Amino acid sequence: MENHSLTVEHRDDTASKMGMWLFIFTELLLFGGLFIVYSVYRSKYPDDFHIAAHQLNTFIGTINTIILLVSSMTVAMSVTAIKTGKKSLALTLIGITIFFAFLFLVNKYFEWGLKFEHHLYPGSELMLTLKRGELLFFGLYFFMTGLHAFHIIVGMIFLITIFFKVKSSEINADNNVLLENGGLYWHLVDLIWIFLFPLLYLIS
Amino acid sequence: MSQINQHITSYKTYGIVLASLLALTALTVFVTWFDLESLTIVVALLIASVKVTIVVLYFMHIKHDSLIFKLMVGMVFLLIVIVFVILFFDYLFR
Amino acid sequence: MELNDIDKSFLRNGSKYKGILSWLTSTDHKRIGLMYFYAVSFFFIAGGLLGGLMRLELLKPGQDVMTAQTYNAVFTVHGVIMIFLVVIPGLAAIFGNIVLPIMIGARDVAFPRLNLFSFYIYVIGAIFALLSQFVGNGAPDTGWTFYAPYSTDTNTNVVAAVFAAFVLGFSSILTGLNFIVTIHRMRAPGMTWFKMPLFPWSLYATAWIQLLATPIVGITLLMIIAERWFKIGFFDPNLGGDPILFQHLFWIYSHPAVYIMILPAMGVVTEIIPTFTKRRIYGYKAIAFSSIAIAAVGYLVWGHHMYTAGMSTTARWFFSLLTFIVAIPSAIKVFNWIATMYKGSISLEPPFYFTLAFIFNFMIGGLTGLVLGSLATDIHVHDTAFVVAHFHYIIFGGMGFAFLAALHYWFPKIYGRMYNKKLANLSCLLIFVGFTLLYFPQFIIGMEGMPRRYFDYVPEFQWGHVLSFFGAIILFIGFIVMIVNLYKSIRKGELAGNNPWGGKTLEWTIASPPTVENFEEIPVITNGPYEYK
Repeated sequence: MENHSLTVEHRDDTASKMGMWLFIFTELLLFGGLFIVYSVYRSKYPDDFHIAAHQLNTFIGTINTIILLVSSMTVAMSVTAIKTGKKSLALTLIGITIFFAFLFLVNKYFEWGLKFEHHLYPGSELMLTLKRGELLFFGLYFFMTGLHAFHIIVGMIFLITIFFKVKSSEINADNNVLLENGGLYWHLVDLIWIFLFPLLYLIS
Repeated sequence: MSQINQHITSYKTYGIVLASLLALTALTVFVTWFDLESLTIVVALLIASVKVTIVVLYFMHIKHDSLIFKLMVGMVFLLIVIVFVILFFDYLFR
Repeated sequence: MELNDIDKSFLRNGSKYKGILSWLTSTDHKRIGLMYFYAVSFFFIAGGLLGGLMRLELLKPGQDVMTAQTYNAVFTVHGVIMIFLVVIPGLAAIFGNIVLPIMIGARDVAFPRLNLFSFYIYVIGAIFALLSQFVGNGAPDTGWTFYAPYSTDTNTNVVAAVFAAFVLGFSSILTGLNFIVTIHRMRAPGMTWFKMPLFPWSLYATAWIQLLATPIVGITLLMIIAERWFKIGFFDPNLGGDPILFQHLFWIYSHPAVYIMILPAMGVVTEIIPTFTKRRIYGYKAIAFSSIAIAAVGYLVWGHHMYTAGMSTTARWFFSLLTFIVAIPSAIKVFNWIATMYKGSISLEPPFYFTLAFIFNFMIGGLTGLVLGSLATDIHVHDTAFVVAHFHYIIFGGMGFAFLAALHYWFPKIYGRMYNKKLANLSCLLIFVGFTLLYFPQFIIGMEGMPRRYFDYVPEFQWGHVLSFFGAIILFIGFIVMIVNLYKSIRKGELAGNNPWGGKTLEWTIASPPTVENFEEIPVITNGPYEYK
């Protein structure tokens, strides 16, 4: 959510940033609900989860983790760049962030594609023949990574919008809370993945 | 009117943070080669928590933000943990 | 006061558009608050009529005016409307929006456009809720609680209804976000936290609940959709899922939600009592902190809705203990309110009468809550009319009366005119008598075994339902009197002036109705908010 200040004379950057953090809290709670479901069923079906997790490609998962971590750094650096007046460096860094986000989504697309090919998706006939814990694991996998991917897309749109505002100098060394907020949102996406990765991919 | 704190993190700091995060990622993958049984989840969550803390403190700038932000973040994480604990009063003791 | 005050006010100014468009595009917190007021009132009447229909059906055992299926759909939509469209937005979105910025000496909330956007989201959610009644396979019959596995199996329009609730949740979240930032960042110079009036304190605590609890029900409702569309299995025992997990997730929000309803109500009462007793509030800090305590501890009690569902004994014991603990800060407030009145100079005006009714009803509602909170007694009354009476006593007898108190308190400020006080007092009496007759018998027949959500019953419970029906009629008449009184007074009431009640908080220092900007100059605060005598 972009929260612009009231008028230029009464700009309150701290309020803007606080608003963004509050919104981030809601996202943490939103995913928290899914983590609750995960924790209940992992404790109930530890072996089934172990078996089902073998279907996930740890290598792709690790690559995606690295992608997000690096992109978090680049967007954080872009804030330093804009605050020190380095506009083209900021643009480059934001651009890299967006590109990495896109890479993440491409990986996700192939991952999911592979699952669909093997008929491993909620509601499939194969799914209904699996052990219950495995079925739930895949339900969680798709729901959590799907919701996460949705947030990556939202984050990308946010960052692309910010990219153009930096380009037009609307965001600059004296007025950059929007970039900070975009960065915060991006870090949120990273945070969620930091938990998702071991819980989904590294059970074995 | 009001500017957020003036602290600007150096590129170098961000680089070190990334290096730590990558190292912890390697660690969390490495650890899966050992069979820790029920400790697996504990170790995974511990490492993830350290990573999250680093991201929140440095990338998200909480280390250099005013107290109110620190309090809010801490409170929210605490709430989430407490809800989990209470929930497991049911599931662990059924 | 000259007529000019109304002409110069926010009611007539603030937009480059004319007519209804000037309201629908306005980011003025006062206009947004009023728009919420009109929307919420409309839904309250709709939900109330549905409740009336239920009482008509329950007048006699057996089928009278509707089938069992219809009855199930009626109590479901009655709950969905009342909870999601009326009482959760209710006080915060209406009076919070109208009054909060003024009370803290600000010109608006922190994010006015977000505020308007929240209203639009409310309207969209409301449309989905209405759609769920008429399209597809028929109105949902699950109860507003949408328990799995029935909600994942039933053929009715569950998806539309839960999606409506999901959308409405966003409106609540964004309002909460706005208020938290507003209170942190926009208090007038000199207004420290402990010089802030107590209604804003209650809104602050409420806003945190709106912000942190709502997302959990949001994701849970999405899970219901995922179950229905994709057989995801989270709540389906056939697929390894646990229906009780739905209840956990649902109540982790829905219990804190009741504090969203009651905290602002308590805040209103805390404002009205000093004004009509001409006394500083007793225990300002206790009331402020008790609001925060209720919000915090309120997160930890959700399982008291699930004592008979199948949780572990450990969990049940824990939730019962916490439920008793959370009653304490509420009791502290009641004590402080009464202590404020003691040796005060009491003026018996309509807002004060509604407030007294609130305290009386809230005590009954709260004490019966302890009966429900205690494991042993709850086994006996769970899912009976006793529960229905309890929560109507708190939400309607409590929050509802506080809402009416707020309405009668701030009406002259909002519209610049006073209503007929005798009629207002009469409406208060009728509503109170009607309310009592409607709900008190339900405690008794509930204890005797009358189940809730039942369309039929054994003849020995009929006496209670007959009394309730007549209570509903008196209640209905009381509301008619009130609505007619207020509606006429908007245009024809006597001009009220800045401060008809002698209040000390900032809204009484400006014109009635306020100008668009609220204050000519932002005040500098040196005193606490209730400096009487």
